[in-house]
Amino acid sequence: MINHIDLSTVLRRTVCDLYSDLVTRPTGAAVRDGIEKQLSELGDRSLTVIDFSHVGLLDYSCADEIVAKLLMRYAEASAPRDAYFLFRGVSDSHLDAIETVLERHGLAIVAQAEDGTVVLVGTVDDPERRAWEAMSRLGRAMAVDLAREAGIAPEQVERVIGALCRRRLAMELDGGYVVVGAVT
Amino acid sequence: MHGTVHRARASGESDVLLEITSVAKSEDVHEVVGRIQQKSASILVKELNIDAKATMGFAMTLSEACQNIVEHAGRGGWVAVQTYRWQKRLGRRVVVIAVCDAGVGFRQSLESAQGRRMSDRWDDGMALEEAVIRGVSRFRDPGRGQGLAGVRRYIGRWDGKLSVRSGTARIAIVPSWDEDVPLEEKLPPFPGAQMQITIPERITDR
Repeated sequence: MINHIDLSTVLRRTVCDLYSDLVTRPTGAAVRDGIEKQLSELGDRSLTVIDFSHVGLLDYSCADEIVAKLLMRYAEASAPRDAYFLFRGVSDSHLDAIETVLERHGLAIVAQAEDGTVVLVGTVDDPERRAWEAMSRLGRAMAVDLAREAGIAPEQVERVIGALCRRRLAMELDGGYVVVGAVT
Repeated sequence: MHGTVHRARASGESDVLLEITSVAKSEDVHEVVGRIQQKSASILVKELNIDAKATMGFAMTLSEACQNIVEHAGRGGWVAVQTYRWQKRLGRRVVVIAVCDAGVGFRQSLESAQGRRMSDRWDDGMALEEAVIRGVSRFRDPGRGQGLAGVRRYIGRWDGKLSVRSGTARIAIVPSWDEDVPLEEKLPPFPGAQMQITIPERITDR
């Protein structure tokens, strides 16, 4: 199930009707709570587009509360549900704050550009990046095809794909694997 | 004779981007950030030759500097933003963010961290080094300490200066155009903290 969350709407609904900037930790925590409430109404497995298009400023504190903490919660084994996220409408200034917090925590996200292409942002190692890019080129793919396309040893590819799925960068679909964002 | 005589502005003439404004809670930071974005964008771009994209970074820097008060001072503080022409010192315009509070200060804030072990040399200077240079925070959450790191990155990108005074010490990240010292100690005690961020006009090839 694909869900769409406009962050500026969540901000106005949960914090203040007049705000358009995502600044301060309390604001970020309130917006993250708002996102989690929406997620709790979805099924056990979901893909959510987190849309920054109408957000003015995003500071480091808010990026940490919203992006980093959300990802960390759903990448844990104890995550409340199998949720994946695609980040859309991310401007250069948003990216500055988001990249900083992702690097700090060793996290990564999938962001969608205006033309619909999806890119990895944040910290990924070389095999993960090669596997993700191969998955992006192939569309839905099996592990053996990904190993060949990415130039990864067959005995290692399951581990790399497992890491991508655990990190919410790729997902299992109909017995194969796709990058997050391939199915929107 | 009545009235005042208008005097020519001195070489340090200033333009106020944000008058001295009280900051005590998260809502105040929203207010400050909203106001500075409206007022500063054209001045930063046209008068200081700072890239239009960097004006968002400027507002982020201001936001993080103000949040230091809300998160750590234990009481309210103040912020002001002005541009100056530093004719003698630099021959350029600068924009200055000044933030101060009379709260607990950096050393006491870090001392309040649970389970924190102090080294033998633990004083105001070291507390400033920990917080400003190493990004240490009183909170154990690993996401903390990014605000000042972001401020450092911004001033690095725009050849700016950061100076933080707290207790009896003052630490500075000094650009090539300034002759300040990186760490000054044994100053008269200052309760709370005083932060100054200075971004100079960018010299462009015309």
